Amino acid sequence: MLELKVEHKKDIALVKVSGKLFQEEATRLEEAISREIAGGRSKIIIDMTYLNFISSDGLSMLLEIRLRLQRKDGFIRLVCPPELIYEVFQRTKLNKIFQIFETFDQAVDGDPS
Amino acid sequence: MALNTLVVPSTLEARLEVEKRVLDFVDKTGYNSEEGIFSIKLALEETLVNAIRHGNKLDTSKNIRIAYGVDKNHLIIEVEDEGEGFDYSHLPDPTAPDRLELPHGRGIMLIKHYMDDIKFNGKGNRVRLVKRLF
Repeated sequence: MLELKVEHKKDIALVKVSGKLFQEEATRLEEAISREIAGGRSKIIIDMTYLNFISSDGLSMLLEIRLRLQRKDGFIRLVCPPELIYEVFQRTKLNKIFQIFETFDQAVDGDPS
Repeated sequence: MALNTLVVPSTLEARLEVEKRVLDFVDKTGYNSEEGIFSIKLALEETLVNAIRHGNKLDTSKNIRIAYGVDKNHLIIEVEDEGEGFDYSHLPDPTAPDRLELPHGRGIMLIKHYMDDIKFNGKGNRVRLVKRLF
């Protein structure tokens, strides 16, 4: 239901997700990110280009990961969510909480311009 | 209007079959709006997970009853759990500044946004969702 692929770019973990991010799948993604954190990486970029569904459980997991990474002076940044997914962030106002970028390079720089 | 009915145990696995059945039904109506189908899937997911997790508290001896069908141009979905219900009229706004970063409490606001109408029974253990299809 959710395909996960993790790549390492220096000290950043790029997590590419495709499919559906809901209850069970959110747990799988959390476990994958927890492995990165345990491995010493606290800078996580999630590429959402091919994500086609997200529920409140998916949002909850992202918020919990964000808090964990903040405590380690790290970050979670989101890249390229499709329009329907981005609307969920807008509707919940979580687009004000998460840093959302159009490209991976922008996310690495932390600069949307 | 006759609705199709399903009764399933309170397991998160069972809800996936319910979602498939309802979305297959919607597909057979000829409705093919990508945005609309996303809305139905999201509202159904939130409703079923609430019923299983908060309503029946994951008690697998309790069931969830689902009824669905089309009335004129509208999709109707009813979901009822065997729980004690809840006070749906006093839910905090999850987009309020002091709640925005909390990891829970967004399900019902998403259902309200993505459906055209949502009504609970007085007890709060049965909800009726309405989505205009055509």
